[in-house]
Amino acid sequence: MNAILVLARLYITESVRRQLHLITLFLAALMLVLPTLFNAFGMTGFDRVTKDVGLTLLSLYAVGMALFLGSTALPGDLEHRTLHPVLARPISRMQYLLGKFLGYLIVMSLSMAVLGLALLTSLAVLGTHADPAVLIPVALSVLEAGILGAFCLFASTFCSPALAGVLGCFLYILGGIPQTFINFFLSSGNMQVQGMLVRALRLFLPHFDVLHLKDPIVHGEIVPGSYLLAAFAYGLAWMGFFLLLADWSFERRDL
Amino acid sequence: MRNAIETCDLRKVYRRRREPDLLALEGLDLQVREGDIFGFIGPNGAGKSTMIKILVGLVRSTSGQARLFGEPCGTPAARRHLGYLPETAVYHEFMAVGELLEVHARLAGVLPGERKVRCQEALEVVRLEDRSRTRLRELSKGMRQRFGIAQALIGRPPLLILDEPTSGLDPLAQLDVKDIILRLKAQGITIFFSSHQLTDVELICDQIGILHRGRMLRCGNLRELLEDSAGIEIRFRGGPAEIPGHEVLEQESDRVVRVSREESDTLVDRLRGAGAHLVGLQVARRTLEQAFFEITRDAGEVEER
Repeated sequence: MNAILVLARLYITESVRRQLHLITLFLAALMLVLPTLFNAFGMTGFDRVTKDVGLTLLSLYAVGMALFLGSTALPGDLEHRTLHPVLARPISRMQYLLGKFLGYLIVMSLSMAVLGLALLTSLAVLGTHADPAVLIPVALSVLEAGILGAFCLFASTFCSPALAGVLGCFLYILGGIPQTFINFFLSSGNMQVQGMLVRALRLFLPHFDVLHLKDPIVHGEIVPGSYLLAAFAYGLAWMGFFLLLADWSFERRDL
Repeated sequence: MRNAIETCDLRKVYRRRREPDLLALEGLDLQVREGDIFGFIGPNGAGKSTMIKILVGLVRSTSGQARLFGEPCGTPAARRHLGYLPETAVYHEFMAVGELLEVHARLAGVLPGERKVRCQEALEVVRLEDRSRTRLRELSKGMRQRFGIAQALIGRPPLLILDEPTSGLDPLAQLDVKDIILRLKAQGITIFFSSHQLTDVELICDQIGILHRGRMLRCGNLRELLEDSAGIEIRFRGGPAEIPGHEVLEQESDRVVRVSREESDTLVDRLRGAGAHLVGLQVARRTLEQAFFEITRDAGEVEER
């Protein structure tokens, strides 16, 4: 456990000192705060629009960073060979991957917490009740980024970072198609084959749509706690599955 | 004395998609005794780095066994015994020397109370104690290589595996690294290192192994290897200026002829009979460079046939 924490800390230090992450975080936070400047006309419902756009931006940020960080974390170390002296230590490759992933998850969680607070601040400045419920989709975005990051980490153990990113993108698109959309395909006469294909594929892929709670939250609906618990368990199970696959693949790789 | 490194019939084949498989190591048997400095030499592509990576656990062998102090290579238990300096090592450049060394101390399992002392100790060995706060990217190549040795030493391992430790360094930095290696040997640390600097290997090593196209051509005591098959050098004055079948060299006022051990007695008798005054008899020594070229050339010729 100690080695995993040491490696997670190393990842976080690396992220902070490389500054790329900080710059993107700053830009995203800036975009969340910007709407407060544009409500000079006092539009009705502007807070709802801000909430909607803000949560969409947060979700896009999480997905983008997950694809980028997840697919480059391991290949970067392989390319620069920084992992050789580390893996010569009495640690397993699984510990190495877990350390990297934990560091990534902490960085993502902190970044999303900052952005969530920026959104709350923005809503407060707009004069609406800064409903902490907006943090629910933020937390689920972190979970989504965790699944996607774990998948990209797994993909990067056997292919290039670019390909790992593309595979991650496909996973996100296929896994994110809402069930109602697939049902529509299946019900319409000439789209049945495509619909069945997507349905078959989705049997083996995580369903990101179950983590998309932006719309109900924006419209003030209450999400049951049991649903959230199940969603978290679901997300953690997929993360664990992809990390196991990553270890299985990484163990077999010559470095 | 137990063996620090032991391999038995070690084989590595790299499977490739569009090209034929590459045989990197073939039936490698090796024993390195505890406390020795073992030099591992061979042309580029001979399989040295593959062998080292198998010992460290970065590459898995296709078949055969490799053990460090009796533990199977690649396991955390085996890696507890070793410190490793990779070839062309790159470290986390944005970190300070002392900071990264502490990370390695933690990963090596050094207890919290000992970490500072160990870091200081390792930095003193490589003479970087005044660079603890310097970022790695600000170090020269020679200093970075010394840092590499310091991180390898942080767990006080009984075995150091160094992959081309003097590669790409200027003569002064090379001298530094050689000096460090000799000081570590004096502390009883077993050192296994690969190098293309044959003069360094000749000066430092007790044992050497010559690898060529994945096969160990020679392995053993360095002195024996340099004397092996080089024969006897007979130094004499007067007597014949030419000996059929042998080259006679004029060295100052003496004549020198090099013969095989079997021929030496007969030739000495013949020279005395011809009125020569015997000045000296000694085992002829080749340089490692000469031995290396002869051995690898012979192996190449045999393979071509």
